Amino acid sequence: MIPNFSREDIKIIGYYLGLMITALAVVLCFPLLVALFAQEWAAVPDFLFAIFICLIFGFALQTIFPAAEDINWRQGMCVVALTWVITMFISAIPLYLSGHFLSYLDACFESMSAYATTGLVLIQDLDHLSLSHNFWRHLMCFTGGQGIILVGLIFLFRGSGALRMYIGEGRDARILPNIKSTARFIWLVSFTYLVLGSLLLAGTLMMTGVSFPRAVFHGVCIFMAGWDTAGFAPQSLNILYYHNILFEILTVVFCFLGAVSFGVHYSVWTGHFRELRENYELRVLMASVMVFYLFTLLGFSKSMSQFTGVGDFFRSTFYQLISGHTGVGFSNIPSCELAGWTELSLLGIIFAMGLGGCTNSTSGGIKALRVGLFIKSLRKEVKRFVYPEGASIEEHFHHQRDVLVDDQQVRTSMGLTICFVLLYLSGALLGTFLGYGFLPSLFESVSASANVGLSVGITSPAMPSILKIWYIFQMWCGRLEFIAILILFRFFVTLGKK
Amino acid sequence: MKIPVIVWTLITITFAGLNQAEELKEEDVRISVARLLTEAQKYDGCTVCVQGELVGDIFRARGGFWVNLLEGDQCIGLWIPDGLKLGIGRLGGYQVRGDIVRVQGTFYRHCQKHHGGMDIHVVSWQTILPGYEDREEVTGEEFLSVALFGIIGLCTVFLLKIISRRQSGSSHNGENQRAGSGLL
Repeated sequence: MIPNFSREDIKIIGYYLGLMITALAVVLCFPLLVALFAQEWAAVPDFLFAIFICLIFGFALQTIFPAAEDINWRQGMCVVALTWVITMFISAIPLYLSGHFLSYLDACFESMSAYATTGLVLIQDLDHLSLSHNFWRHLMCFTGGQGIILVGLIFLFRGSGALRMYIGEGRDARILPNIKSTARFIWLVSFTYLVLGSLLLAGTLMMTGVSFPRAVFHGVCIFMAGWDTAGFAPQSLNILYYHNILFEILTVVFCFLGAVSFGVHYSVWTGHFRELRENYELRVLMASVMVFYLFTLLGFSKSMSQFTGVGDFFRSTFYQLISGHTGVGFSNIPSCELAGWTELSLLGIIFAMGLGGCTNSTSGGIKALRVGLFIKSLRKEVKRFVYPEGASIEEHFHHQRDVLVDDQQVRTSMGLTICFVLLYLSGALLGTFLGYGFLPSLFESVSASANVGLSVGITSPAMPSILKIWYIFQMWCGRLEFIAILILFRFFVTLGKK
Repeated sequence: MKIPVIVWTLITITFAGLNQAEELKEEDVRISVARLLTEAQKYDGCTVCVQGELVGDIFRARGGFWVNLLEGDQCIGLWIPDGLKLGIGRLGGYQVRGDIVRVQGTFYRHCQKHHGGMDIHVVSWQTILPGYEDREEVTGEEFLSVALFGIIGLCTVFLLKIISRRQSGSSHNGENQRAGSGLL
């Protein structure tokens, strides 16, 4: 049982929340600079307004709740969960003011979808959106993918409180002994890849005659959306817009990079290439890609003739599978084409999306490590029956170091897996209740909860508001992996009692 | 001999003419991009006529170039071979409305020539309405109201901070006095 929250807890939560909201003002300055640079004067007040709200709200909270103490576990979790909600509301302001959303709820949906790196969109007339607003959509993906709290960790927090908030954001591994250096490493990796990846993508576009500024803009946006497994794109056609096979191959590479744990990135950066071969989670991920692709293949066994060749088939099906499995959500076919896939093929994509990428990466879903743990624990149980009584039964796996499978680990990961499955089913049932088919509803629900962003067409501005709100909740839960949100609920129950 | 040749020629011309008329009739029927996408299987390989706004960028490729056509909220790629003479004025984007064009071409659900992508290979092209700038007027009042909101808001917070500091300062003094009297 979580103990009740005291007045002191509220004070500390309020103070740290204020700090995080102030940090958001700094992030909002980047799209403002883009608006000034691109001379998009109409967009400037939108961002200024949001920045002022951040500063006023952030400083007010810090003034009303002055706190000098370090933050504890449950306070940290509350701050994380609340930060994500308030950040969604504030970040939606410039989006809504752009005039490209039917309602403020739609803008909030887009904002949460970006931060949670989902990639489901409700924006209208995306092809006429300003560069600054479009950049803001992608910057939210980049910030949310690394973790909103991770932004604050570098500048704002001291002491052990930082670790508590870092873990609350769905990250469970410290790559380096110090949490601040871990945060710095994650940002170093992300920025290095951002520069290299954006230049590669921009270069590919420039080869097709696109001007340098346009190519860089598209390169940066697509990289941020790909690396952070968000799946947004600056144009409504998504990846199909570029009509470029090399560009698509590059995005697949970035999807993979984004879905790999930062721990593996660290090993590779420090010259331990063996990790790529031995990491158990990566092996599970590769195996599941192959298994679920077989589902897709079987699903198309009777309708292969619609494809013009092996290349075409591979491009259409493998791209969606990788995009779904890594949680990116880029698409090189229209959503109505995806909706027309056979049930077995759709199930293959649904399973792949539900499973997701690696832990401590930017992708969502149950995560390959938890599935791997489940397999190991099953093996352990089978061995228990087969081996003589009293024999010592151990299961190991390699995940940056040799790890012994213990029951506590298995229980925790099974608990989270059950939470994810329930979340997937809840959205599917709601969708079915609202009149959509069960399989499309399940597809969309898994896509939202596992922060993927592929759509079979349910997600649109015309869908019922209750479904929009539920998808926002699913994206939030899926990204933070439940614990922080459950503690926040407890916080609100305590407030209600008082 | 002459009569059969004349009859054959007449029949051929009539049939060709009828076919031409039928083809033109079919081509003239405009299909919405949304319908084309949802009924892709039906229209695969057919000559279609679509109308919409040209948006985004032009991508050059071997033997031609790509441009995207937007109609409503649906978009489709157009493949334009090099030989086709056309003048593209503006492409739609922020504060720019692109050329509205009507194009005829062959629709491919999985284009063999282009690695299986969905596209239309354009055969003919007609600009219905040239593109234009659609600038949004920004008034000084908008900037002023945002600036005023910011200044007033931040001043209020600053005042709040001063008041709370004074209050905490006076409470600290009180505590010190109590502590001092205790010592005495």
